[in-house]
Amino acid sequence: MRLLLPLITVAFGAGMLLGTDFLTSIARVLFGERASGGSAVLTGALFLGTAAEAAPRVCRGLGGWMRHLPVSGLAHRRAAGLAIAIAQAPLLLGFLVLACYASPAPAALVANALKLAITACAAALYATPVERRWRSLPLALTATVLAGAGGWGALGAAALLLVAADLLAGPLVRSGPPAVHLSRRSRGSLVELRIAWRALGRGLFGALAAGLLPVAAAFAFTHNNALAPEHIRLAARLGATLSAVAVLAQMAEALAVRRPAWPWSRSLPWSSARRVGADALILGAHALPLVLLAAWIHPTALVALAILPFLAVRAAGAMRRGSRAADRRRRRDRDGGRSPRGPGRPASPGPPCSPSRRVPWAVKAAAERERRQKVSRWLELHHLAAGDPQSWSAS
Amino acid sequence: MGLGPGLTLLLGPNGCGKSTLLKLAAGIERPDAGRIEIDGHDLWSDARSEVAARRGLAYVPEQPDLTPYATLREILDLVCRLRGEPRERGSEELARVGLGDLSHRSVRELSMGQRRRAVLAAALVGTPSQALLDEPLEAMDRAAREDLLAWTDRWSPPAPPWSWSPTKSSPSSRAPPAPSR
Repeated sequence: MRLLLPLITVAFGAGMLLGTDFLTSIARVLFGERASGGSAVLTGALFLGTAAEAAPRVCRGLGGWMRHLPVSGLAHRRAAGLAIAIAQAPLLLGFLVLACYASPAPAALVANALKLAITACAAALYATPVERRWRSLPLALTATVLAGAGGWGALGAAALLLVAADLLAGPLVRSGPPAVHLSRRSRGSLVELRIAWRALGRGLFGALAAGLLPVAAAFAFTHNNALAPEHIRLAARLGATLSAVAVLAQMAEALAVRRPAWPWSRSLPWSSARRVGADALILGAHALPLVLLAAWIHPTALVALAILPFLAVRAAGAMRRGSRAADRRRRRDRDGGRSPRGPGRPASPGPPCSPSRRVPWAVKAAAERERRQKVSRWLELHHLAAGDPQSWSAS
Repeated sequence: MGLGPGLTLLLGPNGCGKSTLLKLAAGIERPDAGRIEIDGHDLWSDARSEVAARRGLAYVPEQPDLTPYATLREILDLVCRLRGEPRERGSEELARVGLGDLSHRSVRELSMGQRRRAVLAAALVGTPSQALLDEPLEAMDRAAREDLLAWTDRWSPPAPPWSWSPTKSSPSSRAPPAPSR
């Protein structure tokens, strides 16, 4: 559902803005009498994408304790495949609604429903990590596209291919613990930075790319338009600030998921403020080059450096997530309300206006969040599902 | 509640809060009410006191939750740096618990017993005044158990207090007799 949220939002928004004509047009393109092979490829691609996203989450841990239960390997794999197919249900329902728009006739509806069901099942089989992948994969992929490409003949052929792929696939592939790639020669210098880099992995490039976009947009805006000097300055400042915010937000989110609070390390002789400060330094150091890059558009972009420490500390504080109930209680206390546990404390002052006074305030607030963090509590962050190959909880 | 010098055993059925008490004492979790002092320093009051309290603390958790993104050597280097000890101490302690040859590995490449030894090596770095051992013999082989028990036997009053939470006893775990209640 999380993956499909943007798609559903766009479809819903477009439907609301453009009216039923839009939905009817899309429905006819995909399911009308003149629907071409291109429509089948588009439908198949959407199903494949959803299945590929769902498969790692569904299949995680299936090779462990569950495997010892009295079920054959084939049945085990089929159950996993079915679960992946079910994960595509929202997409399937969306397409069925469109199919109704295209042709409300029962026969056409049945045919479209069968096409979609076979496409979803074939996509699920394609995404399932099976032992004999290279035998089943081409058949499942062909079935995914063929199911929606033509009439009953193509549908029948797709069903046959799906059955053949299922028979050839074999059980789920056996997966060992994720590989560990650490430098064997590294010493203890900059351990915190090394841990952060390793946890982020390729996600670091994604964060930097996200930060590069505002700078690139500011550059394109100032380069391709005849602007007054104050507008160029404004664009450079805006690009630098947005770039810093984008990098900090992306990195902080990724680190909160992939490198959560390390409970044991809290027993070591370092303070909460020190841990927050180390994270803020790591975050800020990665945002700094982009601000400097924005200064190439106009030196006034360096103004963003004044707020960068504050933003970095706030991002480091935001990584320390508490439970929603605790956050609500803290907000109530801060606002002077009464908490359910007792009388509320007086309202604490907000951030000071002066940039120089904001950083200590932010460090104090972030350190308090770090202290209040319930590190032993299970957090719904799903490290492995988020693509973390070295989840702390995985054995 | 106060823990004096010497060995203190925490005994109780599953789920009664032994590990939670040790987590609170080790500064892993902050108590909702009350305060915890180690050698007179509050664990959660301010940065200076936090560091001072944790400086004399060694904690061996039940679940050795070492980061998988660092090698054992790097983790021990971090511990040495924070405790103000030379790096060589980390290597020495790793060798002492039998992990000298595995110092380049991530915790993900170790068995549970080896992970627990690694945390024990970290606890041995420096001169902790308080050591909190949560199920210290769990997942250890016989030789490691004997070493650990011999090591803890050396601590007698007025040496540092040792808190220990064994849930169950086995023929090989010859823990000291339970304190009278």
